[in-house]
Formats: sequence, structure tokens, C-alpha cells
Amino acid sequence: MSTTKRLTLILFILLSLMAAVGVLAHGEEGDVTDDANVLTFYSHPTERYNVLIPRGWSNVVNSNHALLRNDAIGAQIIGTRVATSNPDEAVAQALGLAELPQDVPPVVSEAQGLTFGSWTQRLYSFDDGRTATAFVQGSGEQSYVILYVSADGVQPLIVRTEETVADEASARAALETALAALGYNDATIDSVSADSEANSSFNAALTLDGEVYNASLHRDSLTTADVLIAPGEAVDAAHEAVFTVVRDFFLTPDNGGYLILGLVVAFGLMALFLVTMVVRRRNLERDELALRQLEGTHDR
Amino acid sequence: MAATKSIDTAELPPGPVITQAPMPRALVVLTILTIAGVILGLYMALGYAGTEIEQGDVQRIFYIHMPAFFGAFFAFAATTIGGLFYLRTRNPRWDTLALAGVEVGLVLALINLTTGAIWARPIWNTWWNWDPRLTAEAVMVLTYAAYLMLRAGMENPEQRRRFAAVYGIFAIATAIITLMIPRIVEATIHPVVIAQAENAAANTMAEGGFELAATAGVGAALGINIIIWGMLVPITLIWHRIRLENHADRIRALKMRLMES
Repeated sequence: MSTTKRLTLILFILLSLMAAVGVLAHGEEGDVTDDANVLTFYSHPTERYNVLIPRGWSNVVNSNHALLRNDAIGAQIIGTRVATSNPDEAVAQALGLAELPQDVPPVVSEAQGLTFGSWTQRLYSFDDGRTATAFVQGSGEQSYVILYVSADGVQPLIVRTEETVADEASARAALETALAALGYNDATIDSVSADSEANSSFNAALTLDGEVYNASLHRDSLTTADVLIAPGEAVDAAHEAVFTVVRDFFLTPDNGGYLILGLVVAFGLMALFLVTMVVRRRNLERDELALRQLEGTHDR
Repeated sequence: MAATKSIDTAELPPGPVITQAPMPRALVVLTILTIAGVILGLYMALGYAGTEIEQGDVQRIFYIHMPAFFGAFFAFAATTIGGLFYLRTRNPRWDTLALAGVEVGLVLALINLTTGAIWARPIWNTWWNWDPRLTAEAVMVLTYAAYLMLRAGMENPEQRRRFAAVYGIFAIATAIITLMIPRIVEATIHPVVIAQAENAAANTMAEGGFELAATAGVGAALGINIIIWGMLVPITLIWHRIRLENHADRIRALKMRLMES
């Protein structure tokens, strides 16, 4: 076998191996789709915000804003961006998207300044029994709103606590803070029990205006607890999806500049190599001319 | 004042034609295919694949970063093969292949290294860290850069070729280690994209990975760019580099002939 044929054969084998790698990349695509652990997000086509779609919730396809529904509990979640730094305007627009009255004052309004912007949560109660909670994250001149609308009066609240919600006593303290924030000053906490102490998750039984209510608490971070208060014997776990959505809401970073830099460097390096090849070839051609001239002189 | 003397080719005496032969048709076709492929790959990376929602547009660097490593590996493998066959046949053609493989591989490895650093800045918040994968890659680049320097420092052609062949055979170990290290070392921040599912459980430190199926077109864009940058680009460049070296060999032979006469 000639050297050229050997070389061609070796290149063919290497090409086949590399093609197999390409096929492997495609194969992975199909495999991962079947993975039940893959999270699905609503991603706005142009405004870079992403809303996690909780399991059991349906994503009503909408190019203007995220609209998630859970018909089993009559709840919906709206995620949207409003071009304003004023949370009032942002919430009003979100309420409008949910076809709720925009002139109802909030039952609870909390605001907090964060290093990257502002954080506001507002609770609304409507005459038809529905409740709505708006979580607003401000960033410059933009406000991102997650609006939770419940048909059965569930009111989710993120409570800032001084201490970690780690045992029944601290859970009770966090619940008292939440009830005060909601204006339920005459509420009675009948019992607090650990649902899963390892995960700092607690359940509580309440009496409000003679009615039975239930609460569910989760530690979110060292200084926050998520509290859900709902009429009835127990809080439906599906309602807790709102906290997942609020925690996992994120913006796709705007880092196109690094992409451009990467492309410039990659193609710049390649161009540099090609230029050196051209320069080396030209130098060889000059050498050849000089050598041929010398050869001619020598022959003469 | 330095004066330059121009050479009038019309006055040149007739002599043996050593000017580079016309480009073979296969190489012309391959070059056109490669250029078209790179343009297609860019379209797949920038226009076809969707934006990765967690990382943003910078993730698109992966469509060049990762395939460039495969291209470098391909070229370094050619060096190893060239070295093995040179030692067996003592045919200088194999040494030329080995040299071309190192130069092309080094360019592609540098593209891989620099694009990785640029991607890491917004994702890891640092241009560089001494992670096992990154360190292994840096060692690989330095090893092959040393190949060129050591080779240039040896006068005797036969000795140089023999030394380069042995060096090239052993140097491939650095490329294999770089390829395999995130799969065997758990404490690495570098993500593994292909065969990610099997590694996800073992490597909990990895940051910046992405699901091939999570964003539309990622698998296709990556697969096509691996074929283009991992195969077409190195093959075309190696072929061009071999032709350049053959041309240089002929010039060196002419020079030797003149010196001897």
C-alpha cells in the first residue's frame, strides 16, 4: 500500500471517529428529552425573562407574557415585564392582564431595597372571593411582576425573619409575623407541627374569625420564610408552586459582548495562522527566485 | 542607507521548476467546502440555535470552543500517526505530516483555550482558574509549543525527525488526559456537555453546563460544528501546511545543491 493510500485510510478512519462524535451529540438530544427531571420554562422571546412552569401547571402559550394555569385549584400565575420603575404601575398592568380590577387597594404592601434593585410584594382581596399576590422585582427602569391569582382565597407571603425557621417555635414566630402583616390580628394559632423538619417545612392550624384556616411554612433562606394561608383543613400543595416560580424567576444575562470578543479572538487567531502561511509561502518564492538567479550566475 | 535589490524574473536563467505545484482539485474542493462549512457553522451557532436561557448569548462560544478542541485532538492524533509511521518507514513525508499536525493543532488548541477563558469570565466570574481540565489543557498547549521550539533547535535533519517522532507520540498523552479528565476527576468546575447525564451525578462541582435538549437547535449546531471544526478545518489546514513544507523542502534541497556545487 502506498504512503498516500495509507494516509487516506488513516484520515478516513479519523473522520469516521469524529463523525461518530457528531452523531453522539445528536443522540444525546433525544435521550435528554425523555428525562423527567428536565425543568421547563416560559422564556419571553425578546425580553430575556424566564418563568419556571411548575409540574401540574399548564403553560398557556402567550408571546406577550407568561400565563400559567392550574385548573384543579382554580389558580393562575402571570409573569410579565413592565417598562417602569414604579411598582404601582407595574402591578396595575399585571392585574389588568389577569382581568382583575386595578383600583382595589392592597391589603398588604411590603417593599425592600436590594443591592440589584427593589423588591415589593402586595396582597389583594376581591369581592368575588378571589385573592391575588403580586411580587415585583425592580431593576433600573424595568419591573418584573409575578402575579398569583387564587380562586379559593389562598394568600402566599414571603416573610422576612430575624432568625432561621428551623423548629416549631421559630415557625410559630414567623407565622405570627405573617398574620400581623396580613392584618389578622385576632387570629389564633391552634397548632404548629413539623411536616419535614429536615427541610424546615411546617404546617399550622389557625382560627380566623371563627373559621378554620391552615398555613404552610417553608424556610427559603436564612432570613426569609414562605408562608401560605388558606381556608379549610389543609393547604393544597399545588398552591406552593407560586414560591417555586418566584424563587426560580430569572433574567437571561445580556452578555453578547463576550460572544463577539470570543468570535473575534477565534477568527483572529485563525487569520493570523493563515497570514503566516501566506508570508512563509511568499518568502519561499523569493528565496527560490534568488536561488535560481544564483544558480544561473554559477552556471555561467 | 540600506538598498534593496530587485530581481527581474525575465532575466532568470532556465532552471528546474521548483515553484509550488498547482493546488490539486481535491484540495480546492476541500478548501471551498471548509470555508462554506465554517460559514454554515457560524449560522448554526448564531442564527439557528436558540439562546441558552441561563447563560445567555455567551454560551454560543461553545459551538466553536468545543469543536476547536476536537480539531486540535484530530491534528495531534495526525502527529502521533506521523511519528509512528516515520519511525517505521523513515520516510520524511510522515515527519511533514507530524509537523503540520502540531502547528494546526496548536492554533486550534489556542482557539479552544482563549474562547474558554472568554466564556468563563461571565459564567465563572473569572478568566482562568487552576481547575484540573484547564491546567491539563495549558500543559498540552505548552507541550506542543515546546515541540516546535525543540525541533527548531536541532540541526541534524535525521536526528530532528527521529526526536520529533518520539516526542509527538508521547505528547498525545497530554491531549488524551485533557479530554478525559472531567470524566475521571470529580472535583472539576468544567462541565461535560456530551455524555453529561452519566457525569451529572458524579460531578457536582461543574458550573456552566447546558442541556442539549433544553434549547432548540443546540444538538444540531454542536454536531455540525464538531464535524466542521473537528474534521474539515484541520484536514484542510494540514494539507495546506504539508504543501508549504514540501515547497520549503524543495527550496532547501536547491540551496544545498548550490552550496555543494
